[in-house]
Amino acid sequence: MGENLRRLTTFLVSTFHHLRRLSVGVWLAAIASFLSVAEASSSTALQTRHVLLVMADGVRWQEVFTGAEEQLINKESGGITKTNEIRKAFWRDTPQARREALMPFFWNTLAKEGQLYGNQFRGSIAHVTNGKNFSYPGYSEILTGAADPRIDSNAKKPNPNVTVLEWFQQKPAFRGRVAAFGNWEVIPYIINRERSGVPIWTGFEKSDPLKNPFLASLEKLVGDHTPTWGTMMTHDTFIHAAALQHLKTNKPRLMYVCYGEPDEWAHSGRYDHYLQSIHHFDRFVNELWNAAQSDAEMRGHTSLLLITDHGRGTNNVSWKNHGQNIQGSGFIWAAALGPDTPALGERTNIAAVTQNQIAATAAALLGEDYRAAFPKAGAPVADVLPKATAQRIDFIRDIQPLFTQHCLSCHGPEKQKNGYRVDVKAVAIKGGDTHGTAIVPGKSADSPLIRYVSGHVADMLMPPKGARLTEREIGLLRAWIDQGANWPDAASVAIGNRLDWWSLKPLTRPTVPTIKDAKIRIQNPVDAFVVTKLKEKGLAQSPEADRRTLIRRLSLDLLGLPPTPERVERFVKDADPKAYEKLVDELLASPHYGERWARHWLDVVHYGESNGFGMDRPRFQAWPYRDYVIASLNADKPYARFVQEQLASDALFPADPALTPALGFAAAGPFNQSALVEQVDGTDCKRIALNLDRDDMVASTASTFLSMTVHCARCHEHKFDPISQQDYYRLQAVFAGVGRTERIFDTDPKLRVHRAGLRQKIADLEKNSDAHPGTIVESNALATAQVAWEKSFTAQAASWTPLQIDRVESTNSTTTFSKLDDGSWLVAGAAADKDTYTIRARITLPKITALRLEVLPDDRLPMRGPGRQDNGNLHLSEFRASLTGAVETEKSKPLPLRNASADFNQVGWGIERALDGKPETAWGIYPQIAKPHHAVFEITSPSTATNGVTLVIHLDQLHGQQHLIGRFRLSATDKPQPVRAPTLPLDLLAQLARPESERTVAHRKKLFDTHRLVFLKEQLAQLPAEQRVWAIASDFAPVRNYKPTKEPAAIAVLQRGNINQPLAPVGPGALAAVSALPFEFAIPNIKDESARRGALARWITSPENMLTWRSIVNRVWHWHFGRGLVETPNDFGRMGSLPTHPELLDWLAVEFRDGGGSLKQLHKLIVTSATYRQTSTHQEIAARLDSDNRFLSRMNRPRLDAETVRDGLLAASGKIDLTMGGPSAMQFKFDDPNKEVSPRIDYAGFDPDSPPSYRRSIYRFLFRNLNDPLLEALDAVDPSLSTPKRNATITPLQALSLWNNRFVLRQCEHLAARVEREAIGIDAQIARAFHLLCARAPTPDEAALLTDHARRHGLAHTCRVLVNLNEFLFVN
Amino acid sequence: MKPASNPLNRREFVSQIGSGFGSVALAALLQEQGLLAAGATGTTTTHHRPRAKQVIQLFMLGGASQCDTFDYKPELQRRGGEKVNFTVTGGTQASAGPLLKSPWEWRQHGKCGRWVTNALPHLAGCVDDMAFLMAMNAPTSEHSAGQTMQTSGFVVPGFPTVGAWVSYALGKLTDNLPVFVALPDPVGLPWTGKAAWTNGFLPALHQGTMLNPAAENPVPDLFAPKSAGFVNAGSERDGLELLAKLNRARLQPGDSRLEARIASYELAARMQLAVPEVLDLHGETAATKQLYGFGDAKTEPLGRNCLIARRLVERGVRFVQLWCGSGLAGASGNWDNHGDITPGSDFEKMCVRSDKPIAGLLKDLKSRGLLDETIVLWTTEFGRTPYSQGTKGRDHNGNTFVSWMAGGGIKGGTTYGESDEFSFKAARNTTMCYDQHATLLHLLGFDHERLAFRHNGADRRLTDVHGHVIKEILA
Repeated sequence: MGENLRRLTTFLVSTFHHLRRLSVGVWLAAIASFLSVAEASSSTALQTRHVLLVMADGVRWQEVFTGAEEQLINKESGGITKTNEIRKAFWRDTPQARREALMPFFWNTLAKEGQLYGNQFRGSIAHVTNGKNFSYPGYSEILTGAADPRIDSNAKKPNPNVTVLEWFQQKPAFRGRVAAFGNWEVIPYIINRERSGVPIWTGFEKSDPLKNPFLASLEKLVGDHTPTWGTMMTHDTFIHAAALQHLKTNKPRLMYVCYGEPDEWAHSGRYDHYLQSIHHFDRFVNELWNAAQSDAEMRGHTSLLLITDHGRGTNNVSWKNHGQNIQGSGFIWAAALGPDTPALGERTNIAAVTQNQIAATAAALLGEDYRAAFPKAGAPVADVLPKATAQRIDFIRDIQPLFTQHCLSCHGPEKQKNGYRVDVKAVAIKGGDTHGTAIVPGKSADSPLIRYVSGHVADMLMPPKGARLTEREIGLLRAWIDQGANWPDAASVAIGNRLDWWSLKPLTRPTVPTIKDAKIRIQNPVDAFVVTKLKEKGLAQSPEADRRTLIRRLSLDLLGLPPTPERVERFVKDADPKAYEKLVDELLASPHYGERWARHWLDVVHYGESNGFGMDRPRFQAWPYRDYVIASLNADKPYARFVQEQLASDALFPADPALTPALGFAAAGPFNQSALVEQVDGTDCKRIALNLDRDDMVASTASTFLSMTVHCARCHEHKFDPISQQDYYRLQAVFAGVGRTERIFDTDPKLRVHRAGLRQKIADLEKNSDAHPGTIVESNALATAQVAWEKSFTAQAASWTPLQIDRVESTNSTTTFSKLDDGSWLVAGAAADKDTYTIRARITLPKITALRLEVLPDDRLPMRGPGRQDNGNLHLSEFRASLTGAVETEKSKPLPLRNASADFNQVGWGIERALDGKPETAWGIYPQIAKPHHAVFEITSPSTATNGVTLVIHLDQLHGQQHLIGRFRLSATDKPQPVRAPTLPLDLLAQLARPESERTVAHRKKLFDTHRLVFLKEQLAQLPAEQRVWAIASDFAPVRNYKPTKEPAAIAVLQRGNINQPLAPVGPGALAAVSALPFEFAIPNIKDESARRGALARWITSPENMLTWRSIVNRVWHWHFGRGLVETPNDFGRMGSLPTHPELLDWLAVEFRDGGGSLKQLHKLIVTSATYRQTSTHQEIAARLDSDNRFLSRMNRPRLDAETVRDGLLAASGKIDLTMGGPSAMQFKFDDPNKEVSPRIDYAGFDPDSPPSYRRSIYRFLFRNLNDPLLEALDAVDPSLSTPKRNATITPLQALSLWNNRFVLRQCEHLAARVEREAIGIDAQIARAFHLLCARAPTPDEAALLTDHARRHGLAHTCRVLVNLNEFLFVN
Repeated sequence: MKPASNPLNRREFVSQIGSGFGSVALAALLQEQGLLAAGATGTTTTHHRPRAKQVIQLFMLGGASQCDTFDYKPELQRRGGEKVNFTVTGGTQASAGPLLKSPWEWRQHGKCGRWVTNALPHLAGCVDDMAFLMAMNAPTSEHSAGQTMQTSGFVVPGFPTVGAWVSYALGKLTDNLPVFVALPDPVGLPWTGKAAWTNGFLPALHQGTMLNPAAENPVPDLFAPKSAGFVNAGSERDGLELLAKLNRARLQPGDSRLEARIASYELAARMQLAVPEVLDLHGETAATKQLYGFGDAKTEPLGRNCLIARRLVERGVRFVQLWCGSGLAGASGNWDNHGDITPGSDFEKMCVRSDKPIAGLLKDLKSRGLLDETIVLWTTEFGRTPYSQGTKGRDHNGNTFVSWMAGGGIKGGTTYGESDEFSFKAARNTTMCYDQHATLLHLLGFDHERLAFRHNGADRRLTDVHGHVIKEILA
């Protein structure tokens, strides 16, 4: 190896000149880049506050990178006698293992977390520039940043140059926080102690023992030890001790530490000591680093720079020496570690670094530009500097524009100089014809592209002409490459500036065109825009539709109901020129308007009333949100307010709790109960489900309010739109603190306060009965109530006689019973899963009226019982009794029981279940464990002949999982019925039985406290019930494993959406693409969950959020015309459609926004336009030019949606129930025996004449997984996903439904009956039915055919034909 | 009016309904103009030459245990009872118990030597027709997400199912029956109810039509209910004729939807005829019924559906989804065998219930030459753990499970993928439903990356952004 090393060194020296020339280019002009970056963004600010500049004198790069050298482990060359020991310590089979043995900190920590330069075997060179290759020049070059030819000896001459230490010492922020430690007496001269004022300690100082006893004691040790290498040097251990102490106590901002032993041992020819001192040096550095990391102030803010002042010779003799004439001694090594230093490890195949770069590097890390003051200094080592940008790079946002600006003219579609182009991914990476790979993903420093653009390579500065890339841009490029050079396939064709897109441009009010042609009907600006476009396309306006058509169209559009024949006739005959406007006003004022338009809104927000997924549990309290939407629309609530309430009524309008149902918005979508409720925390399934649950809220919010598709960005940057993963996860952070739950609320704020107060009081008193000293008023009320309360118990008091039990048996052989002194029985033995205890007892009373079962606690039972289940609970499935004669073989007679009562019932496990004959239901007492409980069962027909009869009691406990009784006692009474179990523990009951005068103070207090709680709970129970809505909430009662988060969960960008690959954390915010608004929310208390939603609501409803206003006016347009001005109402991005009438869209948006966001005004504007009032009749020429009628040369002819068909049938049949609001109507048979999984619901078996059937369809209960087949066939939505526009398919199944569905046929019968009541004669009856369905009379031909049919098959069947008419299903 | 009571009369009058409309001509006209609902027939041509044209998807609901059926692991058999430190992830509900060796007997079968336990003796006889995916992996171990994943490629609801995609891609082979038919287990619906065959955002035409052979209306609203006393054969015929006449009189030029509605009644009438016919098994021979397990209460329920599946395919239904197991009774009545997988357990019941009928279906399809053009896909939402839950049961395990394919374009007797030594995790050549779906589409003539439908701002695919055709199992 020595020979190889020599050869290599020779080669390197011969090419040194060449390398030097190159290395000029290596020095990035990084100071500038550094500062610009630091200023550009706080997120890229440096972490470094402290720099430790540590030096080891004369340690060769060879040892650092390859460890001990074999040729020198001997007496002859290395001066070693105990070679075995040294081999044992430092010799290993491979260079990697050797260097690790020698410098474990370097190779196990530094090489992994920092950077190491100088391994010439792997293409990295570090060298001095002073050419002297000895100490003073080297120290000076390191500390001043430049070689100075005047420095040519180690003599104690004050350095004429200013060191980086001195420079910082002069800065106010650093004064007193710069220090130097070095074990060489010349160091004070190098740093120019007198001038610089930098505190320097070499061990030869004389510190005041009073001021610094530690240094003073070290100095004494220095003075006491035998000089090893003359009087100017001491041992490293002293320097290290002093430096370490200083670091810990003074936390210097810039500290220089210089260890000198290796050079001395090498000069002494002791390779063993040389190695040992290097090994120590490594450990010293480690200790310094650990000390910095252990300090709260320095941790995470300290950078370490390591270097040596010179190398050494390379052969068996010259290794001892260095200097101008020693070959190879100009080559050194350098290293860096710290929070701003990318972990690039051992650098390979990169340009050389030089000793003169260290000073500027240290300064740069501390945020200062050293070269600005000392232009001769070397530039900072580029890669030691922070990545110019720490942000996550989006190729399309950050990189593509840069390529376009700087590179594309020579390396793009037009020209490909040297065969290179940056618009095609593969070529951009692969490189040009003669230069090889240009981009090495993950390694910006190794990517030639970076060297070219930074001017590292002579004659290859790119671009050769024009503006060079700024340092910030280079930084972006580097960050992009370091992050993997991600280049989405979709971006292979440059899109240019993604923000340059119609929907993201600020809103301005376009000028309304003037239409001069008087023949064209212009009702309002809508028509002016539409007509202008028509003319542009060579199209013309259609005539106005007739009044019958108009009123049916308007009525179905605005109310979702057909007009009554009477209203049609009135309108047709109305001579008022404002008849149409009057009609519009009338319809908009109808409460049915809200019902119709709420359906549109609910489609978009994917409102459903069950959870979906595999446990499609019903949501019985979702409807208040539906009612909220209806009421808001009817009240014409300003849109901004409508949005704000839905996202954050709790945050923005806390004084109005009646708005709570608005929060149903974000909870409207599906809920994965089996993952979120049933799964325990921490499983992948649960974590994925939580992420997807938030995703649903984010996607719904962005689609609904912004018409942007952000959900793609869960896994990757949006392929086409300027939506980054950060944008997406910022939105997730907004919803990171909420769950979906039944949110409980009081509409009355006073009531809310009162209720909360009572609850708190009860909770406090349950913990500590003295928590609330009573007031006098309260005391009086309490005292009166207590008297009545006590009385109620004494009236119930019964005397109970314990049963004389002969035998107790179990169905399990392992169960044992033992009788206790108090007459109770303790159950023991291996607890079976299920059991039935059979008790045989003699009755000693002449008559029994009731039986009592006591279940009692016992220390021997789990949780003290009274049950045997691990949680102390029990489940009594059935309590059965029978009577037999004295002889056991006699057949027993069942003894019927009734009116079970108990002192306490577990929720859902009441005592009545012990008498219901169902083994699957039972009585339980959880969570009131470890207490006695009792249950009383009345005998249905008490008889008097019981004396001496044997009573057999069966205690069935069939629930399983050892829900068994652990200790019990049975008694009987002869007190006249009714006999009930007092709802008071028996011990307290015993107290009550005592006369007042005999009670102790303690008893009285116990009774008082017990009653007080009862009293307060009664008060609470008497308050009007709270309301509930399925909504989002941050605080709610946990349901099994579904619990509220204490504070919003931390959200990070996820690599490819993978929950196990979090990247940078993000806070709440929104889309950066809305450039007028800040995309990160400033929230004073970041833990305030609702403030996040409040901020988002404000962001969305800002007048400057152009998306919001364009989105809603487009939706309204879409719902009126069947097609939006933008055909994709949920997608205003590049994959969506372009607006057909961009000016009209913007005009409407501005008009709407500035007019206060009134939806009713917007409706009126649209439906009173001449455009809306056109006929829908096909025009031959127009159809050729605009087959889809996108430019509205006529009105569209929509098919009725599912709900309108159903409501229209009910309206025509006269059966419609127009009651508004309230719990949803179940228009199906509902069978829910097992309340855990999806219920069975049956549409076919449902009676179409039961009242819920007549409610409007907006009120039907919406199961996600089991939709009504009739409505499904008519394209009713599946509320699993948002539906911005409905399909209107025509299928055989739809024909079957309309023709055969039981509900439809029943309405035909009702319609027939109705017209029979309302008209005389079959012709008139048919005409009436026709009017009711189609708003017109049948033509004579039609009438003839229909009458004929009615005569043969009846009126109902004729109605069956009518409801299947195209004309009923379509709106002309 | 109950069709089963007098199918001939029903057939007779329904055919009369169909007679007056020049139906063939109209249907042809409509198809020519592409009028049968926008996007109804989806892509008109395949991307490449198809190897098959129809699909039967057999779904074993609950997570069928690969450890006791197809995934033979000598190491598991040897070390049963030993405690191995598995990293339990996903939806498993209990901590890992000791290894549970399969209580069933393993034997090699067929020319290919595929290991199958004696729990599935009949399917064991068909292994030379099957291609096994031995290292299927699911991103979830939770039922509804797993089921939704295997049927639609997404763990969240709302996306079109495979059958809907196939319908969208290939359209119909017959006018008389729906393109995509779902046959739920007679015991009840799957975990997600009717969402298991949803069209998602695809047009309603592509929704699976649930066929319930036992119901009065095997298809919802196929016939007027008995309660509608005013409907009779005469009124039915005259009414449809009158309806067509009235609608035709007011056709609007340029609005093809109005004509399409007239045609839809025509198609509905054909369905009224075809559905009872397909469910009428009288014409099937005793030998055929025997093949499917008729005559044994344990096998007949699923056997009946399997036979109906064959009849549907025979009559041109493009995609049949056949369910084995119901989600309505929790962990029983399906393959969710937490408690017990030993002989006598629910697991055995499910095996018996499906083994002979499915084997019968394969044999029957083969003997009729239908298997060449039909892909049979046996799948389940995930596998089960090689370690025990309780003492005799197995927990959910999305890490690895087995699925098999047979029929058109599939190389019989092949296996692809391998789980680890215990069948705990997929180890080599892992596949996911995306790959299976990509392969399915490939065999049907489609490139899964090109078959897309735009919804809510994204070009949605069955395979999302994943999926590779598994070339190794193609013939």
